[in-house]
Amino acid sequence: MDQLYGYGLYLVSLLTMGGIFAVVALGLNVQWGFAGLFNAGIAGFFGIGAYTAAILTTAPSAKNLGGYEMPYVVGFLAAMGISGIIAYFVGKICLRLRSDYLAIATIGIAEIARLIFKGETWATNGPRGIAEVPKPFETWPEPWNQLAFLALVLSFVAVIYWLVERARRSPWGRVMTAIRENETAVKAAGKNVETFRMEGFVIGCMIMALGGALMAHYLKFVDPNTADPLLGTFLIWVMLIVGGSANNKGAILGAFLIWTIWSASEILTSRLPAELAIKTAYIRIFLIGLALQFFLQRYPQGILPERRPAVQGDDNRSQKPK
Amino acid sequence: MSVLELKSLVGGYGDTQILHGVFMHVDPGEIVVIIGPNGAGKSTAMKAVFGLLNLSEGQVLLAGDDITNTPPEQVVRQGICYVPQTSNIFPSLSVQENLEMGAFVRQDDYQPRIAEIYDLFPPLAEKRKQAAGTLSGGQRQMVAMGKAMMLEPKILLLDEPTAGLSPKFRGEIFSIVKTVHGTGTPILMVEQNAKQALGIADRGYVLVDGKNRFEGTGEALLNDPEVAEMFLGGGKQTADASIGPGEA
Amino acid sequence: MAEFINFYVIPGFILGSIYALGAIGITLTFGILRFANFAHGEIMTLGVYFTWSLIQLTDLHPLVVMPVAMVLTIMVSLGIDKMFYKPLRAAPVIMLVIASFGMMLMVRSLIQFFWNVQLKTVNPGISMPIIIDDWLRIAPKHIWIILGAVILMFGVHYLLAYTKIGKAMRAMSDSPELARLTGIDTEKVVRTTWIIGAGLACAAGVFLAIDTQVETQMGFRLLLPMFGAAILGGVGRPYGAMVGGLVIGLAEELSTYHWIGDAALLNPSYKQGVAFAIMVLILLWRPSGLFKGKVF
Repeated sequence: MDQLYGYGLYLVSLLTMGGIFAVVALGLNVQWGFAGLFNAGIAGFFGIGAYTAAILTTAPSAKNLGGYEMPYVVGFLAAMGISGIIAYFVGKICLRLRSDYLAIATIGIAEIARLIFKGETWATNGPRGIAEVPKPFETWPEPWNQLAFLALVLSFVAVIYWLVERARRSPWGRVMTAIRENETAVKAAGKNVETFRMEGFVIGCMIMALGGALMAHYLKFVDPNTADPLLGTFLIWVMLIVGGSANNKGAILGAFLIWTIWSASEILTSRLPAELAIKTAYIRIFLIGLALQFFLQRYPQGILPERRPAVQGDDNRSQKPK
Repeated sequence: MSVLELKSLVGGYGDTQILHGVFMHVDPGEIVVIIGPNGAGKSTAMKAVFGLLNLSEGQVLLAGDDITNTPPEQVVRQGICYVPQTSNIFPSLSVQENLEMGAFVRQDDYQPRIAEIYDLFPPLAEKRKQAAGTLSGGQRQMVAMGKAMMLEPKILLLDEPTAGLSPKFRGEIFSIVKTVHGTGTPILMVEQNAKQALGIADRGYVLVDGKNRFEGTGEALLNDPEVAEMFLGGGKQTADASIGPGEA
Repeated sequence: MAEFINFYVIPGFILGSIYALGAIGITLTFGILRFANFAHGEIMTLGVYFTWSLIQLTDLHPLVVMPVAMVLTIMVSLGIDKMFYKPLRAAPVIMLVIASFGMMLMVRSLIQFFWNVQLKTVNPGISMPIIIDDWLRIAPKHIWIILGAVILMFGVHYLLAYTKIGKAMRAMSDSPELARLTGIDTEKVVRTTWIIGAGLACAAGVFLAIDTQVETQMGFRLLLPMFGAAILGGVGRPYGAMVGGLVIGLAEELSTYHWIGDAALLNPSYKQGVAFAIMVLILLWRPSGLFKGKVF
């Protein structure tokens, strides 16, 4: 019975983490799937969200900036706001150029964010990180607190899915698709492509920051490794590419799937002797990378390929009330 | 035997069929011009020769040899050189280096050929060290054609060499084309400026909707009232239009 | 003054030449294969670990075994191209960027697997700096690094300016489509690009390892400065990358000098930000870079 309870709790934590990653993957889908933008600094925006929420909602501490004890909602909104503002400036510089430049600039932002989290000890407590971040429902008895938090995360996934899916089907989403297909034609139609890209990029980064904030509350802790620039970014990319770019269901599926594989393989290898366990950790990264390459070459559409909203003209007519 | 022969070409890009049966041939020493309205498949026909699109039907024969659907890097080796409409030089390379690149597939000593090209286009000789991107429009076309001539091709394909140029420069380009032709190289050329082009052409083809519509000697086409009406800006004007490169 | 030159200008030049060598590969790949290669830093790290292993085997000076390490690195790089990049050449270029991003983690995890993450050194021992005119101090290893970098850069210059394949590389960087129509063997050009890029990356990594230490993140740390140098110099412009590398290396070192008062102008832990700041400024002011490179 105890064992079963343990498995149950593991399943809850698996789903909670998967759900948080699903939020981030949906954010990336807005950028990559909709707008065709390559964000190589997901972990940076995720970390910005996590730190913002942590600093705003924690109790006073001598070790770091904070102690504002703000409500969770304020933390979420501020995380999204700050991430959005930073995204706006990055976008302003890079979006007129091809996606490679955005990739370079975002990886730079993630690196600098990590340096700041590590270096500005007065605000972030440096490498030791910020502890005792409050967690919703934490006063509830076990396991109800875990279940309630899971429900919270899943409702975030559901709401964001609903919003993003609506956006995809809206005229805005169709212009996004059209830009990926034929940018010149969209420009010729008088649309400002850069503005659309900017909207996609900023919204995506805001969703990623929300994911970071959720993570900070879930783990009750943030440190510079929360924003490990490579692994975090890389996993989210694998999730989206494997799940299915431009398909919101695919993003969610990919997040849960890859996180389950990642987490389960960690548990399996952790039973090995210590030295071997460390070695196999590297092999796991290598294999996940290989999976990414395999999908890029063989199934670039992912498990759930993109499903286009019906052809513009017809659809418009049928939807408009006469 | 014709240098180049296109037999019943059918094909296009992806799902879009553009050519619906194009016939053409170029005989030794000829300048042949393809004219027609926008979207008639003029440039596409030329690209088909050069292996830039997949033909579902038909044959391309180079001096009797079947080269249908041969990729461009092979077509070059077989002796066809193609000058695209835009970005037809390497702008950051010097004039001399552009010519050397034109001879990339040659294994023998091509220095004498470079000297010949400079003889053909004296302005280039003076600017041999200059980056090709800094030259005037006409000189760029000299580089583009000189580069294509480095392989001493069996035939030269020119895709709208005068596109986007003012009438004054058009004349300059047509005289460059005539210079190249003067070396004995047959030329197949797509042109928008039908009148001037037919003026220097031995023969011409009129393509409409991916099919042959008219063909004949340059002169015959110029005097054909139907062709004149369609492409030469109305039949009335043709009667008194003076034609040829001398016009500009 | 002596302090300024010995501890800021000379290290700036050393770092700058290392960035320059690395950035040449980045800018050539960007110009010719048309994508930002994120795995370039890890290729550099790989070269360093090959060198380290060769030193363990032979007990020779790092610069002696370096050519062998370069060959090994080049072989890996060509293998990666064949298995992972070539199948994506017909796909949108951004797929190549993603593939190289994945490759960055794959190569790094293999390095960590085979060589573990402990710090290593390739330094053959401490040597006394040479003192010139009583104030100018320069370590022998720094002389080696600068000499090596200069020789390699002249090699690149010779190749690009005087050899057929080098000119073809520049041509393809100008216009890949026209290169193909002209009959240039584009696959050969691509291979040569990887050979030069990987070879120089290995050399740059070894120089850095001689100057500092060997660790698994060293290549990744250089990625931003190298991208910065490539963009500053102008994408596709190898000479630009050389200048860009030197500028960024010097700027990073000089940014920590106590220009005002006694404190460093910039906290040394933010040195990496200098490259980023320079890159942002150049993208704002002149995305084609100093040498009029490509803007995609």
